[in-house]
Amino acid sequence: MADDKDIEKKEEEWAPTDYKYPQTEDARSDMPLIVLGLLVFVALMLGATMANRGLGTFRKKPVLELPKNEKSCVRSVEFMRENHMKLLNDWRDQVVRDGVRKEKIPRRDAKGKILKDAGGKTVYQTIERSLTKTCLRCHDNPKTFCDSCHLYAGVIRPGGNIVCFDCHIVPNPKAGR
Amino acid sequence: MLEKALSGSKTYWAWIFALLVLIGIGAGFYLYQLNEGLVVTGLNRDVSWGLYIAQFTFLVGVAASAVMVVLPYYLHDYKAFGKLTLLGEFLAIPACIMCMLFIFVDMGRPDRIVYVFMHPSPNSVMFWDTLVLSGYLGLNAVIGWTMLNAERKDTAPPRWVKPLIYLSIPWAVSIHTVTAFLYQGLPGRGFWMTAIMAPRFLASAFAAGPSFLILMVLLVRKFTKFDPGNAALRKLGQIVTYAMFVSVFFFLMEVFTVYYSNIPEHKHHFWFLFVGGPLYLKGAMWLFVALAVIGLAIMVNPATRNNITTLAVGAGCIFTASWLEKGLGLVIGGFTPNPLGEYTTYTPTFPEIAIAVMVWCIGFLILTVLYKVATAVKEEKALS
Amino acid sequence: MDRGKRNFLKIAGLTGVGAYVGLKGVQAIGNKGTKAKKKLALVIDTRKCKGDCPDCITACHREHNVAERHNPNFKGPGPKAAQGIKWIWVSTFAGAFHEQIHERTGKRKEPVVVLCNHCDDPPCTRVCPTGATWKRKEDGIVTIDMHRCIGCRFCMAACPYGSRSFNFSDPRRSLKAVKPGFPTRTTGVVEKCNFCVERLGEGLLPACVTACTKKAMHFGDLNDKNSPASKALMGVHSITRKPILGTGPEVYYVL
Repeated sequence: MADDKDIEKKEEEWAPTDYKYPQTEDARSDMPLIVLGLLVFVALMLGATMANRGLGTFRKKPVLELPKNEKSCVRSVEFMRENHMKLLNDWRDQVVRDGVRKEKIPRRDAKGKILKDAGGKTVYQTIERSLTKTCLRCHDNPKTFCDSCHLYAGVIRPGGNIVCFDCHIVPNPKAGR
Repeated sequence: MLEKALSGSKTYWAWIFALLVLIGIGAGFYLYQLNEGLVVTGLNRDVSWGLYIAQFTFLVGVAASAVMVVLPYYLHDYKAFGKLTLLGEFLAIPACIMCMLFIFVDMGRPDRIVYVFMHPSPNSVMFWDTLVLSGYLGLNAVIGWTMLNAERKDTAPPRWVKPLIYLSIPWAVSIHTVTAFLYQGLPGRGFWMTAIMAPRFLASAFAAGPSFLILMVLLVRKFTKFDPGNAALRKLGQIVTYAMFVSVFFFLMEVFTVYYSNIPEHKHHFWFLFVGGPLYLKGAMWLFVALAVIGLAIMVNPATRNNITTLAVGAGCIFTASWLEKGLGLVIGGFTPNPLGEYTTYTPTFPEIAIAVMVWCIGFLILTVLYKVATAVKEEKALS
Repeated sequence: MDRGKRNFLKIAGLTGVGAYVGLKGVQAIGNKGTKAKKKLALVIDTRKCKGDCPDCITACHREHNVAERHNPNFKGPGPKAAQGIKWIWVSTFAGAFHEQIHERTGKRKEPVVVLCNHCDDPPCTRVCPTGATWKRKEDGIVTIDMHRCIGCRFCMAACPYGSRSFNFSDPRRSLKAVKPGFPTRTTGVVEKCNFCVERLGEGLLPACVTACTKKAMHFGDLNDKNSPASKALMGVHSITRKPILGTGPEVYYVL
């Protein structure tokens, strides 16, 4: 067994304290390249950010055109705000893959409160899980509803289209899709 | 170790630059395809797979062929391949990546590629192909890199590599078998409906891959001080010779089965490829025949096989012949005529070719970098 | 027997068992959904249909916004004729039934309409890597989830009838008029006849059947003896396309 002194000695031999590291000639000659690389990086990141932000869309708060005749949605406003995409995906899979088109939902009042009948029981209604037949019946113009937030949040670009409407046809002729 | 790829001669940088330019041009055309859809290709309703999938099929073979140097060295302790195995493993890496890229550029909705992993479907051969290909890529990357590191540090490779190396041998066979299953399990496609599709794929791969490796070794030898040795090259030549004979034999078996049985549905595809098809395809198929014959004539004669110059010519002939047969004729011929007996001509368009060139160039770029690192390490060793 | 051999046999045996179990599993998964409650079928009476009028094709393609060909008003790359989309179309008799024709088949050489056969054991659904296409358990319709399709076109290679089409470009560019009520498709997905599943849901017959002025098409559940399809097959000679492949087509042709 070697004692500690031996090990110290060995370490010293291996990396003597007066060891001079090679002069950084190579490193210095790389400086312009490194700076150039950093500049390219900054330019790319800045460009990507500006592409979204510089268009001015982020300043305007989204203005949503709400349906005039209907006051309640299939879920509460809070739920829809956060989860509308999940709900749409669920509906999509249930209708297309499982063939379940209808669903029973509680009726809500204008404030989103679930309605009860005289006996205190929840009032239900049956709706069709359909983007064009249910969602677009009330929100009949995606340009003034869907696009507003999606532009603000950078989900779509100005002049862009939400992918849903690449295929699904907006029934309202004024929506111009 | 990667830093070794950052210093090189003028020729090296010119080559890298040329590859980058071609990749850039192809990337532009890919954006165009992404915007417009596959309408910019020559693909159509009847010939729904073309150049891209054909390249994929061919390159799976190139990737699998690494086993032809790994197996003799590790299982039979064939010492002459000692310096060559790394080049073989490093060839498999870009080949696998090119395969994946060719699948990717062929997809109608590349943005949905995650669905393959989100909704795995074990009933689809493509699911298994994805698994075995990514597994093979991982195996070769880990094995190659670890072996090179060990060599650089003058240490014995870690013990866990050995089982991985043994695993990579059947795995190589599996990637090409599964790729053949993409085709041979389809009803109503007479040209592909043959049980020897997988063996045929393997035979032509074991001819084309080592041929390519011969050419690569010669290039490496020309540009670096690293030399795997003439003995290794000649042994590769032998492997190519056997594999190409088996490959041609299998092809002739198909021709016999189809023409002696005289079943029209099976004959029509051969007729289209060699007689009735568009000029470029007919030309390619007859060139395949000519190059296979010339290549075999060179390789079967020991004098020409052992002479390094003629060996290179023979390897070039056989590589090109295999590419024409598998990287062009196999897919197009299988789709024409269509299931209704109609003939639709498929001709790759310029954007399609540019995108295919892009993928090949990405592969060559990765290959160059890997070979640069490998040869730099080996040169260092040779000097010290 | 030495230990090496015994181990070899053990491993070989285990591998064999493993492969068998694996294969069975794959078959079970591949076969899922093939036992349909209903067996929807289309019977085409070639004594009445001579493949010489476009009624069923026009009706189907209008109903489903099928982008048959390129719209000349659109600037940019448009699909060539061979890149167009077909759900139902006319083929020569020899094209549809080339293994069932001979020199003197006579008047049976008249063209026939062809479409997706909604096979009992469809090869196209077997090969799909994302589960985007499957045979519906309830009625046997071979359907596609356009949201799931990645456009790999493996199903097109697998279909022995050439019944599937691919959207080489945005179909809205090729449509002169878009009919509301049925979605168009997006670039890069595969589509085909859906046996008018959306109309069946509303209690209607498929568009082609309704549009046929010669009353040559009969649609219904073959598990129900009284359905129009079952009745149309009674006491006549009918054939299907490529029965030798074992796909079990559900489109029948009365000769």
